Amino acid sequence: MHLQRLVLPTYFWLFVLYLFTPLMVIAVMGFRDSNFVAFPINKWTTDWYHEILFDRDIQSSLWLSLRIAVVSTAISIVVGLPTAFLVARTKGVLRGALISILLLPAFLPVIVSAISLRIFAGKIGLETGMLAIALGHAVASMPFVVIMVLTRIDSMNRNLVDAAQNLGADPIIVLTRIVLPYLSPALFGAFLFSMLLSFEDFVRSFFLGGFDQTFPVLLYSRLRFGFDPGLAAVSTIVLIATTCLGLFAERILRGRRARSSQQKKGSPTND
Amino acid sequence: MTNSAPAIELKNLSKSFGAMQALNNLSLRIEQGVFLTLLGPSGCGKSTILRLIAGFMAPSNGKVLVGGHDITRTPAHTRPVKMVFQDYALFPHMNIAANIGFGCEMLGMPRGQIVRRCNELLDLIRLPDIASRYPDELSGGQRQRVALARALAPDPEALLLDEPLGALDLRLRRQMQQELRAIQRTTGKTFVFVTHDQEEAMSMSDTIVVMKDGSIEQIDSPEAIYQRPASAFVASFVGSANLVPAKVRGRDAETLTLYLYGQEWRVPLERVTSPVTPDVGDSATVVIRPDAFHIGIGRADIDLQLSGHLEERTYLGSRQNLKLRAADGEVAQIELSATEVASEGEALDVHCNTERVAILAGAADPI
Repeated sequence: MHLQRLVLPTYFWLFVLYLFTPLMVIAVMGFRDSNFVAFPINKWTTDWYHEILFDRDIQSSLWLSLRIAVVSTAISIVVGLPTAFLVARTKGVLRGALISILLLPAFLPVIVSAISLRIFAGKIGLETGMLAIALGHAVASMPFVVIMVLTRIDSMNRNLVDAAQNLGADPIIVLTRIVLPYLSPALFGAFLFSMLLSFEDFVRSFFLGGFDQTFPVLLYSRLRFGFDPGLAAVSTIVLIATTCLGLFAERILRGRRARSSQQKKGSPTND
Repeated sequence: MTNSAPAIELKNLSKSFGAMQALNNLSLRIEQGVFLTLLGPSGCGKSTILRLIAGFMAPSNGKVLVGGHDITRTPAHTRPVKMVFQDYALFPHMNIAANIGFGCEMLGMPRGQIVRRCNELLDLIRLPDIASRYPDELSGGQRQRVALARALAPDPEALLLDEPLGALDLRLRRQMQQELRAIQRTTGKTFVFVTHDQEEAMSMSDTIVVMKDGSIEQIDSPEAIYQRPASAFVASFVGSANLVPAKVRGRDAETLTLYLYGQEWRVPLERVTSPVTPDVGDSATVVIRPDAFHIGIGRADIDLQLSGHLEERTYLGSRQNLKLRAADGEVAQIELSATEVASEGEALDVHCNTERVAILAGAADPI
């Protein structure tokens, strides 16, 4: 009986081990005082961290990746939000068709999407580089933005709009004072997700990139000269930064829900 | 308001959704300061009327007037009527003060005045300390009152209430009915209240409009609706009723001779409540409320006398419901005080006075 109860936890923790061991190895390697990545580690150092923090190429690639993430996220939200409104008010078969069309890019093999974007950019005379990458990333994240926002719109009580209108709000005020605040958790989630998606993208950035390299592309090009502990160090920093961002977002989103559900529990339903 | 125009007037209003006719050429005058209830089963078009007055949809035909002004083409956000929704529809991301003040803010009222108005209303709904709380921190009854305050805040011409008590439990519902009625009296506002609960309609309204299939069946005071129903539908929808089939055997200037329960009964003509008075040979329906029967032998010249045996008895605490099988095989539902002695299977004599019945022309459709 006792043993049976241990099967699932054991299974789970073994999987966790498999998931995180490679990451732990990377994190540890960043402290190895040698030009090569290998075990055992006899001498420890923080030089690698020190070095990559002041590496001009890495700095500028991170900066480029960040700008691309911001621009592509802005595009996908500006395009995705009205699209979500359109889908939300569409009923029946057409709605399903619209959603399928919108989701298609998300299921396309990334390499196919990247090559076609590259060819398309060439045809319309768009130079490879930051703008091309940002547009490519926007294409990739738009489906997720639409679905996240759409789910929230669908959960919205239609009477809220009627009530605001009834109290004298014109369509602009209804949008800015009622609808957008209601959608804000979904918009925040879509924003973070889109940022991360853009930041970590390699394939599209590789195909659409110009002279300047985004961070993942730079890492890849460095790898061709061998994997030194510096790359382990920078990978670890990025890993920690994105994990913190993810936890922070989760905390904010869950914090809200916890607050409201707690208060529902705390107060009687009827007085 | 100093003018004498009705608060709201609907003229030949029709609304159809595709092939479905939700409202059928309906006209209605709602006077200033009344508590008017639209009562009917779901799908009778009562909520459609509210949505047309509020401007959430446009009528297929006809006009909506508020305070004598035609607002049929006025956009919803500039109409001077405010609505209380069944699910309250409080703005979840705004606190109670912001919710209540929203309407005034839209009118461009200065900040200080909005705060004063908001406090006034919080006092009116007897919840003075909740201004900075959020809707999800309130109980159902409190949210209900806030929704009412929010609609009253911009001082509307009329208040539209769409089954606002539907989500509350029975006890709280009764309490809120009294409170709502009291607030209507204090503010003197015109209330247009929609419900499918006949008891609720009876206990709160000055005027009840009974609706069926997109048309008005009867407009009257609660007493008249109950005692003088204009149709079998109204009689059976509002309270319970025996709809007894009858034949007209005779008619003179003052009375109608009816044949029912295997006997003749003379009833004053003024008990006829349908628009048409049935003539000799016609079918009629006699509406007898279960509580109109009394045990024992009545006055032979006036009362309807029924003898039969008691088939079923349901004890209800202070009252009891009896099912009497009359000599001719017809059944009568009877409601008596529980102190009256009656036991199943025994013979029972009951009588009913002409004052407590209503006569309708035609046979009643089985409902």
